[in-house]
Amino acid sequence: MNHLINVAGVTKHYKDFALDDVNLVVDPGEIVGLIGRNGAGKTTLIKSLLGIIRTNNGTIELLDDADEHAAATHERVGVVFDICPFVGEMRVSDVASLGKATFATWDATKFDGLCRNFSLDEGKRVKELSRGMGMRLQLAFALAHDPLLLVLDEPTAGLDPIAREEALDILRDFMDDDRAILISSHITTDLEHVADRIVCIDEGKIVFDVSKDDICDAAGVARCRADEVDAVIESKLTGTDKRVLHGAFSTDVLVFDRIAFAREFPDVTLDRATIEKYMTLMLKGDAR
Amino acid sequence: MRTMFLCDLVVIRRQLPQIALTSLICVLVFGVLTAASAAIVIMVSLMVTYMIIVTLAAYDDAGGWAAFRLTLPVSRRDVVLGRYATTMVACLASTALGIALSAIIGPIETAVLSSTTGGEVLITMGWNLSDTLMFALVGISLSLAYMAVVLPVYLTIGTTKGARLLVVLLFMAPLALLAMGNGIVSSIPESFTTGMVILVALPVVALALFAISATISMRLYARRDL
Amino acid sequence: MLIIYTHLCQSSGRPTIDIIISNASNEPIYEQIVSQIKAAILSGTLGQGEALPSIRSLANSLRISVITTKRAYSELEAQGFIDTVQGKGSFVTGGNVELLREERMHQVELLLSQAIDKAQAIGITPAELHEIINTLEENE
Repeated sequence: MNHLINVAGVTKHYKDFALDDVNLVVDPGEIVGLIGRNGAGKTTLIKSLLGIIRTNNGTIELLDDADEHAAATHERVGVVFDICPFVGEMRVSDVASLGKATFATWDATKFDGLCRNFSLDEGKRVKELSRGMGMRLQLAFALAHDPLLLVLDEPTAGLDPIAREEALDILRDFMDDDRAILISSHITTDLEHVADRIVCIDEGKIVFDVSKDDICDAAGVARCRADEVDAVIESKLTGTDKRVLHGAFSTDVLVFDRIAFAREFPDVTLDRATIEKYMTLMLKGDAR
Repeated sequence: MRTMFLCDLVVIRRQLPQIALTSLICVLVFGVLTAASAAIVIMVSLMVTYMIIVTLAAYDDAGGWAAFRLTLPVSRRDVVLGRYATTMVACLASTALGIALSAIIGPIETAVLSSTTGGEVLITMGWNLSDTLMFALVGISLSLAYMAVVLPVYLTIGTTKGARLLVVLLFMAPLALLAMGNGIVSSIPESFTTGMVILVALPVVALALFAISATISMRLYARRDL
Repeated sequence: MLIIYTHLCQSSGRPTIDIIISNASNEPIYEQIVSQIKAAILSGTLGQGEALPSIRSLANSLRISVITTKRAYSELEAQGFIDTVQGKGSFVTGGNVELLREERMHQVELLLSQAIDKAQAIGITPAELHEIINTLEENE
């Protein structure tokens, strides 16, 4: 199998917004984080590749299957949304029945085991579950049918830090060289802990698609005094397209090789980049 | 189709006792007013089928269930056909419930009403099987025809907007029938108005409407964004 | 400052080596891993033929990306400290690593003496030669 997700040239028009020529590839063995502002198109993209939304243009292949109508592909795809979609009146045991009726690959023992680990009581109604429990239920449901691909849309929103880390641990345990995860999140620190690659979408277009290490390990943010700014901007190490944010008392410049930069400008204050800072500079930074 | 039917079943099964109870209460109330035990069949058939379908439609809209369902191994075609299968089963089951209730309640009502001094009996029919089955057939036909209108609306625009549209449609239908009624009746040949012919024609027409409705729903649902 | 710290345990549960990743360091993360595993091998903490944790389990324990650990292992393999067997994992190279290092050092000496010879031939002084080496290292 080549790509687990292959989105090519996808376009989707709404009244006020459009996904514009979006390309996204997810290969086995990688965890891809999807970031962007609210309304940038993350959920639209995810819904498109899951077939919940119909696109105007482009091709979408899941698990190498280009037939959008093939339900069978979804056998090996697990999905987690930010809001638990199961009907509120259902009980956890009903969700198990649902899984059994729906998936040929359903493993009831695995689901029960996961529910026990997550302290999900089988008699509990879905509407009584807290946000964190609802997410865990979705995760148990998704994992119990042995997916190759997990797609998660804001799965850790509203969870406390410990619950988030536990969720990420589960994702790490799930991964092997044949599987992949696409996870969209506002909580960029989660992605720093778990993602291999970061894709940023803004106003319906992909703005950058880089490895997480390129952001968190290689890149840096130079905090420049007024008299340092020009020299820093001129440097090759700040890339061909500059990203500069002017503050009241200093100027931030995105640096793509912080180690080389530290050698060239030893006196300039330099921080490692975070996904958040990188995204802010890329989306809101000026050219000088 | 089977998967979708099973999904609907799991989703609705805990509500079924409540729905059955509601229909029983309505039947008892209705029975106080009249002893038309056979008409109970039609009432229960229509009411319970509709309660099941409108509940399923409401669940579709709430919390993104319909959207999530499309991520399961069910095609959009399966979703529509499955919902129509559920409707058919609901219709048959509710009619059976209606038959059972009328068999229990009917004789009781007749006995109660006839023993009440000065009690006006609006419609009196003794309970008998053949009449009841005839009304069952009418009930199934009406339910299917009714659902043929309701289902495409719910599947395409959901319960909130759908409710308004349905009120309009379902008010207009009887008015339209009244307006055109005479014209339709006079255009039907004499031989067609015998009871047996109507009894056969009704379900056939209803099934045809149901099938056409399914085709329309599949077309509309194929392009719907959830 | 974030420090992530893991004991790499043998299956018996006894910790064998420590790998400490620091976000405050100037070194890229993959280099930190390379130097620490290298040090463990050279000091004998990791013995010949000993299995290293899989790329993925190391990444999970350190809470970093597999791309980083993969890169670290590639680097270690390029430098001859480990061997990766497809499907089995990575192992400290058999044969004395110390000897291996010496051998490589010898190779470096050879290359340097060639450079020195050429420099003398053109008339470059030892001081200038040192200057050149410093400049080249900075640019690496």
